[in-house]
Amino acid sequence: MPIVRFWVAVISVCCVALGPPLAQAAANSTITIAVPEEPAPFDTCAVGTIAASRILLNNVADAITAYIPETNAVVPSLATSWKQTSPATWEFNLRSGVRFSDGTPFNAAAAATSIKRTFNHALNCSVASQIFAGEQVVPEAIGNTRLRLTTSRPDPILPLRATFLAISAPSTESDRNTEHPIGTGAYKVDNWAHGTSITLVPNPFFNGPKPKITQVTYVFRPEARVRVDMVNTGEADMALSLPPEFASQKGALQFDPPEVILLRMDALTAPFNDKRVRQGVLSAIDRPGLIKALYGGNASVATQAITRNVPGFNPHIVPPRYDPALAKKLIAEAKASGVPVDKPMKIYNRAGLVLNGQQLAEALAEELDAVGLNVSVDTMDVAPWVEILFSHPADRSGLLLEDHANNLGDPSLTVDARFDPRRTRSQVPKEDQSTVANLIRLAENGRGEQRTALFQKLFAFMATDATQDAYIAAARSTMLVGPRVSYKPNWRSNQLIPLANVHLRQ
Amino acid sequence: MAIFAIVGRRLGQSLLSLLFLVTAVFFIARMTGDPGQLYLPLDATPEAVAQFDKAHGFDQPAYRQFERYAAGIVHLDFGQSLRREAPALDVVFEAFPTTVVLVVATELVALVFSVVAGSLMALRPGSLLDRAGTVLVVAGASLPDFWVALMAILVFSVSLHVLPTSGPGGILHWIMPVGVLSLRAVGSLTQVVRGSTMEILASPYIEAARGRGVGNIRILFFHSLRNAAIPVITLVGIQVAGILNGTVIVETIFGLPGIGRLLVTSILGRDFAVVEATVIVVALTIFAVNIVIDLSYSAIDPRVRA
Repeated sequence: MPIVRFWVAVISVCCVALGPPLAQAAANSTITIAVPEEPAPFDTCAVGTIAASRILLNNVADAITAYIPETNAVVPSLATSWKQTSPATWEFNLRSGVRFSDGTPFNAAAAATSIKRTFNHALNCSVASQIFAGEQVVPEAIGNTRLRLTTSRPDPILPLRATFLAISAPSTESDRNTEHPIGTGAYKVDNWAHGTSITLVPNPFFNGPKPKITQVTYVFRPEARVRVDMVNTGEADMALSLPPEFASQKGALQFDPPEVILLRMDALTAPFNDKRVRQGVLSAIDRPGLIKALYGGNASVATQAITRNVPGFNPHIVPPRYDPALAKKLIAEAKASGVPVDKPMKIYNRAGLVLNGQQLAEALAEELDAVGLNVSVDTMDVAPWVEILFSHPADRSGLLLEDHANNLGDPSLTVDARFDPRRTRSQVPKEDQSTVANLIRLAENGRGEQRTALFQKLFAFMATDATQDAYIAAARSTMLVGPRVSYKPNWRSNQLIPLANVHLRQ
Repeated sequence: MAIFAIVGRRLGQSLLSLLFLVTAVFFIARMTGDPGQLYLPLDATPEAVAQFDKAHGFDQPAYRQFERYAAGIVHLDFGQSLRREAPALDVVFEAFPTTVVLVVATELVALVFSVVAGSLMALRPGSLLDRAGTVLVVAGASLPDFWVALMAILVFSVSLHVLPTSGPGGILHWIMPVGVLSLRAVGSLTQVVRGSTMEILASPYIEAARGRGVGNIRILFFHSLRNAAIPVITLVGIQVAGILNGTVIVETIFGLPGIGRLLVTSILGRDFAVVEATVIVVALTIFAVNIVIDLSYSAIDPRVRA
């Protein structure tokens, strides 16, 4: 039978190829968005990843709550109000009269089913792992419109995390990722041509204002130049995730995503377990020079692991001064006291992760060599890089080039993932672990402005004392918008593009 | 009977090669690492990774996994794609037609162009046409696909607005991808047609035909082409294999969902079942092409049959 399917597919491709040219002038109310990658999986519980999130979240599937990036405010979505009833319990009042795009009604039971699915280990949902960072959530329907969420640890920011709890219809497969996400959003998935495009059309059961854009097609074009050319020729209306060289194009829009390019030092292993060596690395990097050379000015010097959009950003941290003489002195001192600074080390660079990553890694290696270290570059694909990120194999200790994104918009995400000494990803030096653990505990138990201040203190300690990371740059993101549409980007536009914010020009 | 002998001999050789290939790809793929580290949450516990491995059979020794895999192949069960959670063979057959159309169209375009150009160049060796043609086809074949593809989009889509930039669709969408792939194929095919035709044109029977007053065009396309065809057919077979395995750049730039992109994505994602199914399907196609080429040798030249 597969062979029959194969020949049917060959004939289909030939028929399409020999048919009339498609996709000429787009109808007035339809738009095309060129994106670099196809979501895998394309599931409401995978909206922790950019590829799935920018298509599904707030378009196909609404979440329990919503987020306004301009004000950092959590606002009602499927829930109209919420309150914390105990440190680990929140209750949400849900909207009534809402239907999924397959016509089934939304209620507390449907929400609970969907959330249970998100935390089903068999599905490996990115929302559970990346947004909830291992925290378990147990949902419980209380009547038709009240939902109780109990978390495995006190969670003061659950309503913020719930902006990623996209709710899928009860008919969604519970034990595997779906290829047919069904939500309550203004749009529904009309077609997914694997490897080519995903098309959305209005959800006939949506109880909000009818969308003016009647069809949205996301086309997958891995090559940035082609995405740009699609907008330039009118084949697409938006091109996303562009490198900075396209920032000067007509129609280019720039924004500051919550991403920081950094170099993680293996501070639990020699020679980086010596503070002088780490301080030497910080002083050896010419951040303004690298930004000018590699990003054409479309980046700023990073001072900490989060960007200024994320609460807890400490504006008083001063970036280390580029001082190769001081770096040399510190490395030499460490060497004199027996630290193996001339041990061959690598900068592990994951291909395609960091903007201009290969050039950046080469330049960093050169700067570090110049002050007395022995560094080369090893560029690899995702799997071995992830292994180094978490497992720290003894034969591959060194420096890891990363692009850390805090897409949640809360400092706890960064702190949990990077600094908590209990986490395998953390490389907090042994002598600083108890201080860091204490600062984390204080910050996470804080409230309001006190919480922000405590996180600022923690970020300052990490940048100037613990120094497990050398923060390098926060690069601007670029997208291109054609003449038919208007869109105002915000700092979360890499991950979230609600179609309600994309307007057709008259 | 001779045809059956050729096919039988080829099938035997192909089966051995296929067995070697399947075994090698299976074990090499597993040397790249544990898929659990990619498919599970980034900070999954070792227990979760072990559970994932057990569920997918990766906890077994490689030879045990191979036994199970080989038993599955016999029943056309190539396993499940980890990335798509669908049968691996279905995933491959979804992508394969795009590449097949790309390969067939490329070779047809290359053959027609090369036969005409190579024959005309062979007719007057050293002429302006011959020298200019040689420079052009060699230059075309030497240019990197990546660059040619992007330049083609700039010229034909952005500047002239005559072709769409990318994506599958109507016949206009296929012109640039096929054109880019054809450049390389044309380069070598034209040279082979030229050389082979020049050799044939120097044969006594061609001289005799000329003596009888047969015109150049008739000599070229009726008398010499059939005899010049064998090296050309051999090269076409090699090119088909090369294009089948090398369309990834063109597929990526033009946004075509073919086998090249699928294979690279699957390798990077440690989607072993899809990698193995892709390799087997491509290998079987190449074997089939080789058998067709062998048969065409004997159809063109009766001495091969003997």
